[in-house]
Amino acid sequence: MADTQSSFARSDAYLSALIREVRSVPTASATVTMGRRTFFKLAGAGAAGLVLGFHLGGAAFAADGANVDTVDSKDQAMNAFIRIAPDNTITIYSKCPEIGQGIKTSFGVIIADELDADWNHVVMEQADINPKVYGSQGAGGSTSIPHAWDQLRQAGAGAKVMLIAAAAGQWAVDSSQITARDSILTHAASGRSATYGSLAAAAAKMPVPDPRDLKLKTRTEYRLIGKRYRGVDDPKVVSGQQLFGIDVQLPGMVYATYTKCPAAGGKVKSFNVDEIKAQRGVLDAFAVDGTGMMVEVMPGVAIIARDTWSAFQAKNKLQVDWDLSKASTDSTSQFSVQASKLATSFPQKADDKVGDVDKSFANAAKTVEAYYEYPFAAHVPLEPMNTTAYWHDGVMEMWVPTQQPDRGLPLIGKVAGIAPEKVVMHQTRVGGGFGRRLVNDYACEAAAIAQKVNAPVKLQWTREDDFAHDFYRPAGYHQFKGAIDKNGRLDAWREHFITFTADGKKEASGANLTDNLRYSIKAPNLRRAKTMLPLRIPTGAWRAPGDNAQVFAAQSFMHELSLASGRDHVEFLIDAVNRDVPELAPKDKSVNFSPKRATDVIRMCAEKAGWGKTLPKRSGLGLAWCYSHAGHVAQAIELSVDTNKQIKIGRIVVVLDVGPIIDMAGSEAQAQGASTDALSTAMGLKINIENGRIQEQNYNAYPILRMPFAPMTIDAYFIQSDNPPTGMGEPAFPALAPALGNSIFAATGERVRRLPLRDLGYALAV
Amino acid sequence: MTMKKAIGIVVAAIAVVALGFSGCLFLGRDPMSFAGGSTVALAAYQGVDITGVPAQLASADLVKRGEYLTHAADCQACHTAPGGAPFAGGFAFNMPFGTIYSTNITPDKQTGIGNYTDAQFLAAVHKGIRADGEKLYPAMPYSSYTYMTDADALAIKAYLFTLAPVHAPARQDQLSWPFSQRSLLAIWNVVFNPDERFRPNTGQSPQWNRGAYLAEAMGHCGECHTPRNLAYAPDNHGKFAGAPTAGWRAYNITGDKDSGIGNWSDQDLFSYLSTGHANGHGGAAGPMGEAADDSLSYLVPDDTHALVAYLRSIPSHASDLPRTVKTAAPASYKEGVAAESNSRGEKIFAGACASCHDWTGVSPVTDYATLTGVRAVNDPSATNVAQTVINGVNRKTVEGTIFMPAFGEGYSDDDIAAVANYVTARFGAKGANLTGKDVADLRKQAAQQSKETPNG
Amino acid sequence: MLTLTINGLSHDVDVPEDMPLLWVLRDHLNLVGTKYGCGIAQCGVCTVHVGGKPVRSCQLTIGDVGTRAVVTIEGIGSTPNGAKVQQAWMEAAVPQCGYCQAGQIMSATALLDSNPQPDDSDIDAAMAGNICRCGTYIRIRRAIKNAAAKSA
Repeated sequence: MADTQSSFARSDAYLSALIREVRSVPTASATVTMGRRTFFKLAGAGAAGLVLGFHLGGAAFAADGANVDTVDSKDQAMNAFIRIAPDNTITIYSKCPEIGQGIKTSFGVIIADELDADWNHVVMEQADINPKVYGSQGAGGSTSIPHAWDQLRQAGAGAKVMLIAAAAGQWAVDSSQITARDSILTHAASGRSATYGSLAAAAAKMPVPDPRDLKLKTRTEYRLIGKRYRGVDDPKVVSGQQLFGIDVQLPGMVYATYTKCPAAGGKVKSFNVDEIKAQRGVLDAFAVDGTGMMVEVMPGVAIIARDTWSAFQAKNKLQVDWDLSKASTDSTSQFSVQASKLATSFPQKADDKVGDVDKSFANAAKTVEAYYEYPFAAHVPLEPMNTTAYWHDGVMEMWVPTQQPDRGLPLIGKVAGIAPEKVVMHQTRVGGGFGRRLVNDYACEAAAIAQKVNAPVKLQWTREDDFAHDFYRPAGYHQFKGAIDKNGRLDAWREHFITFTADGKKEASGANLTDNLRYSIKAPNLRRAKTMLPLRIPTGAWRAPGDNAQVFAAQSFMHELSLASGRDHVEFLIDAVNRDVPELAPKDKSVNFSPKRATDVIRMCAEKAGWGKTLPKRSGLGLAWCYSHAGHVAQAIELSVDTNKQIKIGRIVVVLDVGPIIDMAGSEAQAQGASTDALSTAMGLKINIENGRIQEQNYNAYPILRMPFAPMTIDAYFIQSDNPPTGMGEPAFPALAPALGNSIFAATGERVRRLPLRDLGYALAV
Repeated sequence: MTMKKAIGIVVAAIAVVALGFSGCLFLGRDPMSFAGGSTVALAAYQGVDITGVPAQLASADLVKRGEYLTHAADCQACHTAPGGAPFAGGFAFNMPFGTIYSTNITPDKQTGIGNYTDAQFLAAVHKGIRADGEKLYPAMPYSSYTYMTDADALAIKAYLFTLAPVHAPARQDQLSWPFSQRSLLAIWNVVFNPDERFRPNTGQSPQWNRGAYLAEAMGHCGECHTPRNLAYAPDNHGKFAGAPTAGWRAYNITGDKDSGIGNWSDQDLFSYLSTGHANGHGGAAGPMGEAADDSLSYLVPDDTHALVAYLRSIPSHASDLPRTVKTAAPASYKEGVAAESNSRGEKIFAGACASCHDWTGVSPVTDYATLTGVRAVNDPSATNVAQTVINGVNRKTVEGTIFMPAFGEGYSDDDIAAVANYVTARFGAKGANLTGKDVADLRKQAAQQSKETPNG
Repeated sequence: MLTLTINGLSHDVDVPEDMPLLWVLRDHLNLVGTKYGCGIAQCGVCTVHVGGKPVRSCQLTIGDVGTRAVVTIEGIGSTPNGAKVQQAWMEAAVPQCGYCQAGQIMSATALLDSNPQPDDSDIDAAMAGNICRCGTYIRIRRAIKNAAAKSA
């Protein structure tokens, strides 16, 4: 194994790059990238009718398609978007993982709308993994929709053009006179009509249109986009059918656990191998060296058993002698102490600099200083990490519940010592992502184990494994100083961010101040600098990375500034958002912050929440906003706080501008779910680390919000526009915590500067 | 009357009172005097051997016998820190006047007892005197172990010397003055350590005498179950009537029908002692769970029966506990005692507890999780309920792992108080009135310093 | 060899008596709708009905099932309330990631079985043991009320 210290850093660098890549939202219009794309028709689709796919890289698509098909012959249509059967059933393949964000439904709606398909006869299937055919197949950063928006619409529109061409030929009419609706083509003048299914075989022989020539619908022409949908998998979900990664069962399958050092970076010296092998149901046990990369395979002990329970029981008996010489000794209690000591020593070197903050402070009508902090957090989606792997015929065939299947292929290839093309990955539904499954470590482990097992093997992490070996949301500490000028306007913003580094040079993954905040918090005089504490525990992307906690600090402090200004908070925010100040350079291409869209969501949120109304004693209405993952969002909470610090949530309002809404029911669900998740996290979630070991081992120590304490309603409103649609998975998270803190201040005069709130004695009332 | 004379009278009066008081304390010293009758020196006792190992092990080698006796004396529970190496010490005793730590009794020559001679070992066990001549704090139960025979103590030593030496220096005690002065223990020892070996009672059966030896000289039950006097020594006026210990309550194990074990059948007692659980009475947790798992469960049935016989002879002593409620609570959360009284506790119970404990208190999953009839649940102080909620249960028994999650990290003091109050009200005889502050105090009393996570 | 009655069918299983019902269902009977989430009865995703009551199958050993009939998410649709709840779940588009929903549906059905018209407090009491990491509680509550409103 390579030197552990540099492995930590390399692993972290991989993850940082991945997060950046995942989060980048395409800014330019679709036509810029379209030249590189070509449609293709899939040979070998047999009698299934028209099959359309995409190809992103030249003329080799046919060979690629054939190659993949021979590897996995069970699914002839794995690299296509649309299949139309003679009975007019339309099968649409969703290329990206369904992790709860509703993408499998939304992707279908987007394609079906351009195709003018009858939604009642659309069947959604999960595409298998083939980035050469599908392009990006990840789900993260709320980018699935913005990345695929043009591609999917072109798939639908292209197929429709070919169907129309087939009909025009058969009916000998001009294609422009043919209209499409609900999977039926009609020629009004002659009264002729035909189903897509009846035309599919002929359509498949039509020339493939150039995507650049396709005329896509305008927003007013949508028939399906924007309506309310049921989840396409819901019938299977509610009846318990095999769907998730953990549900995979194969003939002759065996079951594995994998145990790594509780302090990240520890290596196996030895373990009680004879005792473990003698345990009931155990088939084998062996140490795995791993690659030393957190994002791949760290050293550990694999136990193979005839069922999961036997593997877990044996794991309980496992005694590993760990080499801790290179292992983490991180301590969160020490980090807090260190950070608070460092906070007031503002570094010489600034990362962001506009104007002159010191001059502003000297001339200010008022200055405000505050220190904010928030803890590490774990993702812990309800489906514990798992992967089923089958090493056969030189191929690593895998079933992986992951957010980044395509990016897993090269890593798994590396671990298994095979070309990435020899990795065949089947997508499963994913029992929660939240950013955890951007990393394919568990899939890599399964591959390493499968090569030593002569059978399909399902690697199943315990919940305790999942808590102990996450890529955590890093803690953060912010020392702010702001100035208000004599007109009550924000004049200066100084921020010292104490964060973490894995390599000693740059922030650890997920630990950088987000560009969303860098560009949406504006001040005529601005100075930001950071101090980095060394960290060995791996960090990563956690729902709305960076924003999920940094917005709490920034927008809580913004409220403190507005109070100092003596102005209304909403007016203060809108004034600040619209300040014409020198732009920071270089401007990140993926940031499309719009002061107008921000203004509109803040105003609407205030209006819907009844801003300015008189409230009873110990009640308060607070508001915060953010720009996150290309969404402009404002959230308001009305609540009361009793003298025992019990918070009764009255109402939560969330207003979003994410462009046009694809699935209104799904988008509301995301707005409510992200708000609930944010409330849960702000109230109670915290990971403690001592001596490199995660202290929380299961949900008993990590109180995810439960039904009796959850809000009864969350009112979501959307400002729809012609802007390209952007994702809904994350934007409704970040502004909730500061809205909560601001409303608690409004109710009590007490400022929340530290999360979680339970550490400050707050609790949600029943 | 001169001032001098007056002072003299006052001093004399104080002396008389003090003497009387310490005499009273002294009279509470003997744990077996309740049985009356006459005792004889062990060597003079006619009958079966009531010390040492049971007949099954009579021909076993010294180490094997020592192992049995080490279990019977339950050395391990106190000499092992949570997650630490067995017998390597570091377990914290939190007392009103500070914290002391158990020491390393593995045969490590530097930090353990590897250099102890037999005489030094016996001095430690019988008199509370370390090899260097310093006095041990009576957290080491030498005033109980003093009844142990030399042969049994040395068998234990022989066993301990077969353990792998662990290098584990003693942790620094944190005691306030004057408790930090070990020399003052000389006075305590004169008053409270009889420094005599076990004397069989000729008026009692051999089984009773065996039980007495196991309970007093080995298992030192009274160290937890007998209330302590002002000098922190067991006061046998209320022998086995229950007492607070390390933030938990050791319950009344006298024959009182309401507050004690008078309503337990012999089989219930046998089951509880041998497995740490008796159907209808619940399971042991906390320190008693450790006693069951590290000690009592290792006893052969005859020895356990002897313990039961001995316990049955203890004079009944009513304490402040109500009779346990044996009937299950209603199936609906809306019905029953706690229906309206405490909604926060109810909601927390609903989320974290009802899955296993049910709204009735009778678990649909396992008898181990049934709350109905459990002493702790019927203790209106809710001390042990709160401690169990905070610390959970994680007992490895021959019948498998007995597990309840620990909620101390994820739940606030207020929440734990609310759920403990709810549980005692709904399933017990009388609801508790714990506050968040009470729970914070309970946490401190039972706190152990080091925490290690297991594999994974 | 133990015999279990699951969803009305009799199954013989050759597993140790201390194996939790969860793993017998999943690994030995291929009934994978019942999920593993925490293994300590804190998340509720493994909820099944045993003898008509909601039980965490990760805690109930197969030896303790006895003769009680087991109903899982795969079979709950055959019961009147189970069918209503499943229908209400789809109509309200409750699931996000969907992983917890089998357990939620089992708890909700048990609630309706014992209380046909539950109010918010009843729903809290019955559903508090089921965590939803995605935060679908608002829709779960709505779906239960809708299911209760459906005629049997």
